[in-house]
Amino acid sequence: MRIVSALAWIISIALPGASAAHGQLVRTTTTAGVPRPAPSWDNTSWLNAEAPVRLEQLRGRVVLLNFWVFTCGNCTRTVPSLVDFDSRYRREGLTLIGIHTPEFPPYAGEHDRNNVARALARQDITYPNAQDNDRRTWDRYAIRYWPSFVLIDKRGRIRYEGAGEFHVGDPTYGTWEQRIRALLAE
Amino acid sequence: MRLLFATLAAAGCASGPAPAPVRLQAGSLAGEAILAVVPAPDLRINARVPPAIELAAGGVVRLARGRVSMDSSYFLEPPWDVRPPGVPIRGALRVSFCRADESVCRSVMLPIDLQE
Repeated sequence: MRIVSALAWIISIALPGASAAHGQLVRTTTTAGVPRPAPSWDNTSWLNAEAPVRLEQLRGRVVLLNFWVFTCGNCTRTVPSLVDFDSRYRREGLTLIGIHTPEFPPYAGEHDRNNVARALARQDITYPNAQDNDRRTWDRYAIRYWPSFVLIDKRGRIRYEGAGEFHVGDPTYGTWEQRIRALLAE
Repeated sequence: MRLLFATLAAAGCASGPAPAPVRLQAGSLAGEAILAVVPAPDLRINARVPPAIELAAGGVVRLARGRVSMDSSYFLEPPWDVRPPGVPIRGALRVSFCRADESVCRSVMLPIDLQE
């Protein structure tokens, strides 16, 4: 057999989450920028919520968005840290929200609500999760990697963003916790 | 499968200005025609959502065979499957991968066109 067409990968650069020439190296990162209004979202399929959760309802609370997908090991290994944040800071005013954004088309099962529900149960996730099957919210926040994080202050402004796996007790976990506490105190 | 890995790794060097993160490789195993996805040396292929060939003629071929890591996150060898007979392997290859020195998942879609 002969490869007729070399495996050029032109399409890759047009894909969300794709990389160009493997892309820029992405280790766990967190960044602070000039506060700017967080885009609203309008996902209709939610788990761990009786009704769709809207950003406008969350004024006065600090919101941590986690863009993830259950097939991503970097994402699932970070979940214990998020569950920990949720259990420790929910009553103090933190709302954690998962934005479950598939990598593959529906044939891979990532779009299936039952599969997402099983993943939530498997990881003891009780905070709301939106299915972002059309990547609408992913695109609004210009997300590129799984997992990614956006920390929104009580006034609905993006204050910190980041990407990459972290674990309870490691320096990045500490950085996120410090930022959550700072925004809760404002 | 180690022999397959070695054979595939030695076989194809994709030409072109930029190295592709993965390449689709045709080969044979125990007399059967197979397809495998070979990652660049610094990449790991996500085993929880195995590579897929989205055929231009319709249908999807998943390449899900191969040893995986203890936590089932990554393939330890190029994921592969039997090549469907009589079907042109033309369309797109979709792969989720992670660089060894990164802590994020990325996905890529490559045009493919293999002929007998």
